[in-house]
Amino acid sequence: MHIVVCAKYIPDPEFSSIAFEINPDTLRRAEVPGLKKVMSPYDEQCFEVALQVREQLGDDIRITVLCLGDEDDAKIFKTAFSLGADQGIFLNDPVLAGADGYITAMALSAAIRKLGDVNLVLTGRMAADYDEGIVGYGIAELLGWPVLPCAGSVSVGESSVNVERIRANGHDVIEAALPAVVTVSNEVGEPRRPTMRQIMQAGRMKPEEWCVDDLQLNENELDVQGARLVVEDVFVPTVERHCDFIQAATAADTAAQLVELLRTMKVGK
Amino acid sequence: MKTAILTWAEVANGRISSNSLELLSLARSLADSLDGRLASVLLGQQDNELAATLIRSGVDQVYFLTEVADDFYPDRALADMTGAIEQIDPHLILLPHSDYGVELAPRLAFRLQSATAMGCVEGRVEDGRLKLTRTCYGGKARALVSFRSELGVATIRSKCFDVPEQDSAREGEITIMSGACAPTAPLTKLVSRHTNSADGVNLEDATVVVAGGQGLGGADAFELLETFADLLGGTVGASRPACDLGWYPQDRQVGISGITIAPELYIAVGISGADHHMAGCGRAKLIVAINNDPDAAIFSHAHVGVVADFESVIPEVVDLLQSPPGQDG
Repeated sequence: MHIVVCAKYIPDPEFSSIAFEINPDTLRRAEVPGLKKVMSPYDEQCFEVALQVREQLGDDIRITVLCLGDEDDAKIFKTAFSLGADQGIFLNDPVLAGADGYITAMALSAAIRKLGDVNLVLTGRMAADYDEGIVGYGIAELLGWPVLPCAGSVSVGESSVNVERIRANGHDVIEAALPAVVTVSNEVGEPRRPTMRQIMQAGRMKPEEWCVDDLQLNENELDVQGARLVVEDVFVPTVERHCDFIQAATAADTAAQLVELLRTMKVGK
Repeated sequence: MKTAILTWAEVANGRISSNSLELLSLARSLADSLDGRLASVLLGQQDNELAATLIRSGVDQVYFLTEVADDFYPDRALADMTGAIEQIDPHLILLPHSDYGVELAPRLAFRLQSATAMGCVEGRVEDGRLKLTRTCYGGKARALVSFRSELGVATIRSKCFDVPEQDSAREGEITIMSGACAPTAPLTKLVSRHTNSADGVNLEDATVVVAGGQGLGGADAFELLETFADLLGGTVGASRPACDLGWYPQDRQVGISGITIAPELYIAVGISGADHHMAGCGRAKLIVAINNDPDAAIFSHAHVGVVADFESVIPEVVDLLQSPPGQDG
């Protein structure tokens, strides 16, 4: 069985939000000292799912990591190999620099088609930079495969996949025949930490690089002009709010003032 | 007159979801700016009461896609919805940013070769062009986007707009539509559906929410918050770290990856005020923050702040609320 994990390299979403700024030229998060790029967290959790499948079905499972990015993103493969990927495909082509979610899905689905023998595609339920959650659905639609979104747990058989789909107030159990696309949610659990040996081995592995020509896609559809969504501006919203502090000498006085406020709001029984 | 905006009115428990009604406020103003009609699509058996609610809320035309099975699952509706959209030919499709809305939107967009703007909070027409604002970077930033494709698809977050006032004098048309010419079998099978029993006050619709974060130090403190919320006629929520630590159920999570709420009163206890949390509660009418860290980000979002250990203040507050007014000392 061949599993493809689609992974994105993004500015660390856990990095201090006080240092958050948007670069007005690129309309992306501005680089500041100490801010590193990481694999988007939900994508990292796809590896946990892939390894769980290997446990369920045996060692004959090949895991390929697929990433679209520029030179700067090549470092994602070291993480991916240490988390369990057996091989990597790096879609690195300047034509794809302005890709929106639609073009990203076109390129990734073309790469999956080229790989040929893929049974299961795993993506994070959304990337933690643009928070769109489009690409997994797009890959499925473009390949004509079923999509099982927002998976909190995944179990794979020889020819089918069963997913617990997380909803706001419960979950659905859904099932589809392979090949299929599953988008992974945080409920699947943290990815297991790689051993020192895995990290050392990962350092010696290299991804295969593919460009648009390898994908048999029409170059004219893929550049910025082909992007269907136009990002006109990205900005940090300003909160203009003045906080009135309740300052009293004792906790009892603070509580009394707070209760007075609550009673003026006429809330409660 | 051409249909400018088409919305998907999601029905849950026999009622149109509040998110689906709220987004009609935006949809109506966009349709007016584009000099077009506002239409909504309802899936399943014809129910004129649902259609009437939509029309009273500003919709000009309601389409029923009756061939879609009543037990809704996105896969069962996609082919019919795609066919119907091609016939109606709107500029923009708006869907609630719900569990199923976030699936339908991109899948419809890919089938119709159009763009998707997910998680929008505002929209307007500028020089005849639709512009939408969506959240990104976990609520830290907003992106202003427009569409290069003829058709755009967008999801609208809940609690960004007020439910439109009902105008019983409004008139509209109701049409029954057959969707796809060639129905396709769904690719995904819904095996079973599990919905958590809603005991107590529903978090999304509560007028008072008391929420706890990592600063509570453990699951036990949530019992205190439950007592407090109960006295205020409200319910309890939690921040993502508190849920991830297993202190409170995931389905009570307030924030961008949980539930978006806009209660009259939001009391945040031991919550730092990360952007992804504030994106889920920033529209509360009054935000009261209790935190022992005077530099916590929550105080730049709160209207009222209390810098104190919650353990010293909240038990006192609970005692005072339990004693009738006028007798508290």
